Amino acid sequence: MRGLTAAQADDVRQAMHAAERRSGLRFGVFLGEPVGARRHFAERLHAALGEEAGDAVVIFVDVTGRALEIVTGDQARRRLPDSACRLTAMSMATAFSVGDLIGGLLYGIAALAEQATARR
Amino acid sequence: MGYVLRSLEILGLREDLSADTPRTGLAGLANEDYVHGVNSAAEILLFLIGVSLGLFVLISLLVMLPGRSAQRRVESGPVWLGGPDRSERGVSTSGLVLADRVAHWADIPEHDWMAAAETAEPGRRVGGASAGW
Repeated sequence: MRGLTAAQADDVRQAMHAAERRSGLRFGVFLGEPVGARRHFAERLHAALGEEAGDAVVIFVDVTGRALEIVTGDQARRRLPDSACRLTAMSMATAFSVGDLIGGLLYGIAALAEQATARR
Repeated sequence: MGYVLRSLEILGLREDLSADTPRTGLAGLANEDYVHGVNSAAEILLFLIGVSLGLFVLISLLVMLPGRSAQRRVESGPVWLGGPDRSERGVSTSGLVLADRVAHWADIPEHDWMAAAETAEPGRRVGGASAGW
């Protein structure tokens, strides 16, 4: 997949920093093709964050496979239930379906942070 | 008062020097051409404007040329932000403004998230959701 321009990356980076400051969770975004099963790959990406994985939220977007995964660590899950993740994932998928990759990511990061902050 | 008049004469703003007074410029004693050629206030002003413009052009080139020649390609393959140790990949480091560029002394983590994921074991209590479009 083509990389992000400096402006796009800056937007995503700022959204992630803002989300981390607000929610106290750690965010990671991965765009690419999975190695093996999509969900399993996303969970392994999450586990690769090491000690930070418990508080981490990983957003994995498979643009080629037209699918996305949100993975939350065990501590992040207490504040970010699967139902909230599902709702956010559907909204992100809607944005992606019209070709708005960056817009969908920015919305998703902000929405997840909002949900986590509300349950803080 | 005499000192002021003398200063004006040196700067070329007062031309009525007495005949027996040696004419001096900023560099000291000088001949007639030098005094009239360099010490004219308008010419000094033009000289300063020229130097300023030259410096402006030089500094502009120094700032803009590295940005144009910097790595502008966008890598193909996986892209990530916020990977292990805050690593990033597939993100263009060149930008339209100076603030977007990563300082050359900045320590950019080179962790490979995909390689780390190959050996990582997923946790049992992870949550989340999936969606497609």
